[in-house]
Amino acid sequence: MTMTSEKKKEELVCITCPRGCLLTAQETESGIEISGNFCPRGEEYGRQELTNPVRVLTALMRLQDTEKPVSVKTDRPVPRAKLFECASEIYRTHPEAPVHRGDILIRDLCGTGCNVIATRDS
Amino acid sequence: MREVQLVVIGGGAAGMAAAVSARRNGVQDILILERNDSLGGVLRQCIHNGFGLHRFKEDLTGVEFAAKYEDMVREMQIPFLLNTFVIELKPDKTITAVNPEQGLIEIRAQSIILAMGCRERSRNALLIPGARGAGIMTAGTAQRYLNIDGYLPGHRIVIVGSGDIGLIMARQFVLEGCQVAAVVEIMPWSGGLPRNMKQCIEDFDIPVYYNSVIAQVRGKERVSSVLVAKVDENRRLIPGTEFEIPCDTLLISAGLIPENELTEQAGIRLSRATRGAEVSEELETSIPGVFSCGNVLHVHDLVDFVSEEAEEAGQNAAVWLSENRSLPGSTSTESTADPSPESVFSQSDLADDIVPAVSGDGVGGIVPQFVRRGTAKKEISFMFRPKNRFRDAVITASSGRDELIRKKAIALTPGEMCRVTIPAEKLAQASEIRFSVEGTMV
Ligand SMILES: Cc1cc2nc3c(=O)[nH]c(=O)nc-3n(C[C@H](O)[C@H](O)[C@H](O)COP(=O)(O)OP(=O)(O)OC[C@H]3O[C@@H](n4cnc5c(N)ncnc54)[C@H](O)[C@@H]3O)c2cc1C
Ligand code: SF4
Repeated sequence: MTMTSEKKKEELVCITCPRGCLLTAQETESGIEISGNFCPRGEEYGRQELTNPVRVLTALMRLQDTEKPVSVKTDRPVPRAKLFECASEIYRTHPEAPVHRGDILIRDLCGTGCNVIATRDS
Repeated sequence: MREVQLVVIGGGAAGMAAAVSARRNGVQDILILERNDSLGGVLRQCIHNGFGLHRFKEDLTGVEFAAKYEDMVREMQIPFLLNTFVIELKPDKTITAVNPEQGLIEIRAQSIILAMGCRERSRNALLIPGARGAGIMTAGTAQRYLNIDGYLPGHRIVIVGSGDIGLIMARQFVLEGCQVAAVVEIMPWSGGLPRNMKQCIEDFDIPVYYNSVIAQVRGKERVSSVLVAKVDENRRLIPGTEFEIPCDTLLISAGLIPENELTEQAGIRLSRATRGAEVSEELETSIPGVFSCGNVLHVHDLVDFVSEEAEEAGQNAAVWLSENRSLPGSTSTESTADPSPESVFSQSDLADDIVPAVSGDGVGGIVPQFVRRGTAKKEISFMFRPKNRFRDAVITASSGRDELIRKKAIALTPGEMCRVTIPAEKLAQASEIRFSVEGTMV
């Protein structure tokens, strides 16, 4: 979602927390102004979203020799543009059981600097 | 028959939070009954993040959120029985459950917290015509297959209904390499949270057909395609608008219904609007000492509010137990013979002692349904769903001509619960609490 010159005002839903504030991004002479945010994180989100949107990635990881997968997440948001690349890297990786909640299963996922950690025990 | 001070039925987010809070408030003898083989309820299959931001100020996955509460239950050594299905609840608070080890278990509880969660609406509820081949399931079932058992239920998917579970699953299927061909929604808007529409649907350019229904399912042994058609304002199919979408799986994500068979069986009064028990501001049902919280009371969007509500129920049960230090085995028949202020509201003819919450324009499903006069609470939080989408809305609560509260909201949608808190002192003179929403409908 980028700002185009003819469309100087844009609405976004802040996805940082469940409140889901409806933000308005207005282009002004002094830069982008965000309004509608209940807290400062909304402003941060708005700016990030208009420049380089990021998302936490959650997925399943299939382990060697066991049927039931473990669930994993990135410890920080990854660039939205890299979601598919990151997901397929996770699906290609098959750590050995057992895995425990909090274990780091991939370091520096696809050069994003984010780690993939287990969210449950195998 | 075993005697227990407080029995919690259901070990999901609500049941665990209620038990932990009751223990913190001094209840020693607690027992959680859970029919699954582990605690956690629906959270066990929610591997996505977005849980706990209110409660723990942390962005957790559902699995991690459940683990936090399970850790608390274990640390406090609160007893729980797994694989234990409650099959009967009687008005005198006796409970019958079955489990493979002990067979039939009978328990007499002094107080009970209902935390049975909800189940998904199925195909029958939607009256989808056509073939009945394999490949049709609810979104939650698909989520369980994938996230707990580890297998993909299909590769080319159509989702009917835009509830949150369907939206979350759409994203996961796309990331798993499947194709999500369409989301078909009968209403002109999404039934899910705006943030899920953004991060699960718009982010991946998944087509959404509003004002549309599945006119037919095709395929003999397995679904091979669906016919999608438009509906008019009265939700009637417009002939000639049908088009075909090939798919091997049809996911139904049409919302949740509180699971209240036990509640009904016990003769507890249910609300038609929420399909949950009618409760006072203490979350107490029409049987004194029986409380309800979480999705079995009304369908929540956020687990954070589920645990908050459940903690309140746990605390209220603790207070109730200390005030009604009834002999073990005392029944509700006895307590109505000696009416304490707590049991008064259960008799609807004593309406003078309660202030009912009433749905005005644009409002549905208010919880709690009433407040007792002279309540010990300082403020009362009400939750309800707006009936339409509104922009620049104003939420009001009034009693006759008196306005009790007025609150502004930029945007409201039926997919998102509203919460309004009213100081109890404002209700002293009120004859009712009528909630309304006004604004531009969009
Ligand atoms: C797919 C999905 C996505 C969600 N996404 C989010 C999100 O992103 N963020 C968020 O905050 N919230 C989210 N939620 C909402 C949140 O997860 C739920 O509101 C919450 O977990 C409900 O908790 P509960 O304890 O009321 O119900 P449940 O978790 O359903 O627990 C009820 C328990 O009772 C047990 N039970 C029922 N009947 C009996 C019986 N007769 N005997 C014994 N046991 C019984 C069941 O087995 C179950 O374990 C989501 C929910 C779903 C389904
Ligand atoms: S602006 Fe703040 S309160 Fe609003 S959704 Fe974003 S993080 Fe939540």
